[in-house]
Amino acid sequence: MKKILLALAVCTLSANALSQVPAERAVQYRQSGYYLMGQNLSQLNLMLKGEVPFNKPGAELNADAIVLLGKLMAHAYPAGSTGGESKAKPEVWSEAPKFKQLQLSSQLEAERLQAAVKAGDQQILRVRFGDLSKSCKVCHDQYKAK
Amino acid sequence: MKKVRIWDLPTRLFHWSLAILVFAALVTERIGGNVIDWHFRIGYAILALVFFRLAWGFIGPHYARFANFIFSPATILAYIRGKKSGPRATSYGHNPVGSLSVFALLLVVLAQTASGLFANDDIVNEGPLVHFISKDLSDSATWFHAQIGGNLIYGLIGLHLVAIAFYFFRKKVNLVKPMITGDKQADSQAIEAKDTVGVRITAVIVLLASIGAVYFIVNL
Repeated sequence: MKKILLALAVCTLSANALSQVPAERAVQYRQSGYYLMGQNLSQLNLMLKGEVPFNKPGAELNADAIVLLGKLMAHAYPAGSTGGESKAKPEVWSEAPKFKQLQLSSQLEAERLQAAVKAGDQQILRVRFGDLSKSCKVCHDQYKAK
Repeated sequence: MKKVRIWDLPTRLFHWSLAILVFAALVTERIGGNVIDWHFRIGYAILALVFFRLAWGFIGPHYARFANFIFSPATILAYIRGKKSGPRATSYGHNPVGSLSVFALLLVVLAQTASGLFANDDIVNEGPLVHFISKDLSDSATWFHAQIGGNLIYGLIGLHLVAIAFYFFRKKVNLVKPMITGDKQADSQAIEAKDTVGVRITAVIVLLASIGAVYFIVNL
């Protein structure tokens, strides 16, 4: 809950303003964002696996949230915003162009997922979901400390 | 010399199924995405196989029983130094060094499947028992599963293959064929592994019980 409130609080700052906040806050901002993203992915996943009945408005909300959070995360790595609880590897900054490229490709997958939810074909949606989770993992494998 | 059944059919099927499933687990993990669902299912199947083998180590035929290939450290050292005395001279099952490989593989594969049940990918997938433990503990299980367990399995498989090659090229002994046909050339006093219909039916029952146990665990 604390994390969510923090995320909402920090969301009200503009993306650029994040570069002014202390590293610790930037790390919390990211972790809160990814926490919310994970929750939305999980909720969608439960629907796609049939463990929870599929409801289109709910799924759209999940997909919209994932796309929005992805946009926020694209600006959530100002220089030096590491240390403490952060699991981001130094390569996030030393290989910044490559990292940004991977973020962008995840964002494209998120947008394709969003379009699939709107179109309403669950078969395609499942494929898109798999593609998105795969593209998340590419970054985790390379840029997230184990 | 005569042909003697050493590896009963259930033990052989266990061996090859495990080899295939471990390979499949590796491939499905690499592919990722939605295919990870299969990685989970394969993990459950491997766990069931390990349960089966653990039970078979107590109730299976002669050479499959753990009691037949648990050796003291002294025996293992003596075997490595090349002394052929002791129980080795009359047994055709796992030798003292090979037995270490069997126990190590079973232990590591068990640890790998068990840790998988508690692991998470920090994206959307998580093992069926994650809800029993804290996120930190699940992250530790994930660390073992992804960073340690897999490498241990690769290492043990590597040793396994090197040993097979060593026996084949240096000692002119084919270890693979008996694991397929079940038979070895042995002297007339050699103990025969029971591999009757009854034994095989027992194995099916044990396997079904193992599958039931895994089903129970993953649905806790």
